[in-house]
Amino acid sequence: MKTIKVKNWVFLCLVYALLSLVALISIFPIYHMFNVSFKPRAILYEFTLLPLPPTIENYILLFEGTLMFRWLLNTFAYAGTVALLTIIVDSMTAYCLSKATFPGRDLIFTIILAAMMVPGQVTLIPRFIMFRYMNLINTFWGLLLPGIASPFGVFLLRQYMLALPSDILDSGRIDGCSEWQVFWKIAFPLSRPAIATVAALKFISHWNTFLWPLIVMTTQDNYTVPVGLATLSWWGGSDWGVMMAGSAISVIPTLAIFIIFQKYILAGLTLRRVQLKM
Amino acid sequence: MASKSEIKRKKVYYFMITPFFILFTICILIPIGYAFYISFFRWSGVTIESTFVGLENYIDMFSDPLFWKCAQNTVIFTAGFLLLTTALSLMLALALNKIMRGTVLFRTMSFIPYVTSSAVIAIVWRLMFDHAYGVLNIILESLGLPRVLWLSKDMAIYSCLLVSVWQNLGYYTVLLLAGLQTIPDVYYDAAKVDGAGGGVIFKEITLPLLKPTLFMVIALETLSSFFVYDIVYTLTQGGPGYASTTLMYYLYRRGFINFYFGYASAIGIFLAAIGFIVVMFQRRYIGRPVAQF
Repeated sequence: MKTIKVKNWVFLCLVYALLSLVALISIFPIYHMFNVSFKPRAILYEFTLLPLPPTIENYILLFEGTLMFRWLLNTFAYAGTVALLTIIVDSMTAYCLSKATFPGRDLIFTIILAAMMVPGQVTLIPRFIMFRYMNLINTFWGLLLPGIASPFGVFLLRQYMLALPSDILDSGRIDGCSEWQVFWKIAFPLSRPAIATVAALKFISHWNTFLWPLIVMTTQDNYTVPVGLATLSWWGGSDWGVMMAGSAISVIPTLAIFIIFQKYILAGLTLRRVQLKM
Repeated sequence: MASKSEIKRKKVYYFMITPFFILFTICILIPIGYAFYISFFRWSGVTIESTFVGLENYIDMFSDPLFWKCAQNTVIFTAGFLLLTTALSLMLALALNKIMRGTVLFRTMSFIPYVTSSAVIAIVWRLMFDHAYGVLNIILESLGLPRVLWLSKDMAIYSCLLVSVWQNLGYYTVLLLAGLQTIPDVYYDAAKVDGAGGGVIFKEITLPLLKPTLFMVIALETLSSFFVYDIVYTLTQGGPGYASTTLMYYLYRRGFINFYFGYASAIGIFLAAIGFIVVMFQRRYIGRPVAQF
């Protein structure tokens, strides 16, 4: 009995050692980015674990020498607007597809599901050509419209709304709510966890997204942060100190949102239900 | 009277669904059909003139040595990604499922790379890959090993693979962990009572019950690695030469650098066909739709 206990204990230690190693490897590059960004420029290329003495020189050079501030504003506006419009547009759709019956409902849902099975990459070139005809290239709307019609958002919200008790919605109808009020005053607030999931995921994924902004935005002042930094790192002639400062700033919003909304994000990604706290 | 209010009620639904449906039609439905159409035309540069060439783009594609070079890179990348990510994330998920304390902390830390933009990640890794002052070579040297040219012709695609596995590991671990947590403890308890060892328990209980999740993870891995693009763009620009160009990056180059829209669209259809097969396969065996954000 005692040997089993010792064996278990050793095993657990190994498990913890493995997990610690992975956690360390996972965050080291992110740490390294912050580390280098605060290093004095004289020792930029020397390997030290701490940026001593710390300096914000790189950040000053970043904001003075590049359009980083503009890119941050663009990306906030882009990711924020997509997240906001998505939860409104997608939740309306999800409500109709889950709690309403009308002719054509099942057909619409089938079309959405079928389209989810086609990889989005195939739509890239046709969408670009269509947007060029519509004069949407290098515009804010051209950038954000494709992000809003998110089948996955509809799917996730629909799953959640399906499980809302119909009695609550009916009692609203009996009390004289119009169908719009039933949605906006009852179903929408009750779906808060799913809405938080979709909003957080949308913000993070569009903050990070690369391909569409790269293609649709053609002038530097319209770039988003990832596109701006990538261009800068290849053709901008900036050094690593400036690049690391830009990278470090750009991860802060997504890190913050991930840590705050972690429970909802993980539930959404694993399609689990988060219990609503009343 | 009742039917009149009923009709009014139903009308509201159509209004509520309209914004989504318009965007969905413009951004997804029409482009899917239009993609086929474009792939039968030759586009001259950035102008809007095009001539019908039938299947010529597809013929060009299959006889283009660069296309096959990129296909080879993509297959290496996808196979490596599938193998490494599945093995490592399964190991991590099992470890996280074993421990009593610290699950959330470890999970959060390993998940952080996944919520960071690939563009930014590639920039940091390029610094770490640097031959002279990169951290990786400094570590190798302190261990008495020779320095590695991480982004050279022979290594570039593997370096992209390494960064991609590092970035996505936490995500697949979370998915597998969620799958593991749905397995009821009673099965394990019963097996232990019967005197089953760890290996037997894993093979007879964990693996069969985890199969749906595992299939989903493998499908997601295949899709995301087969279409890999942003890591390649920022880490190597597909280079040196075409040494690390994947098919999706090749599509971008042909489409948006050379403006061969027809040719690029043919590549897109080819990629979508492969993706579609993976999704169909996955749906057939699990029946839950796969989607990525």
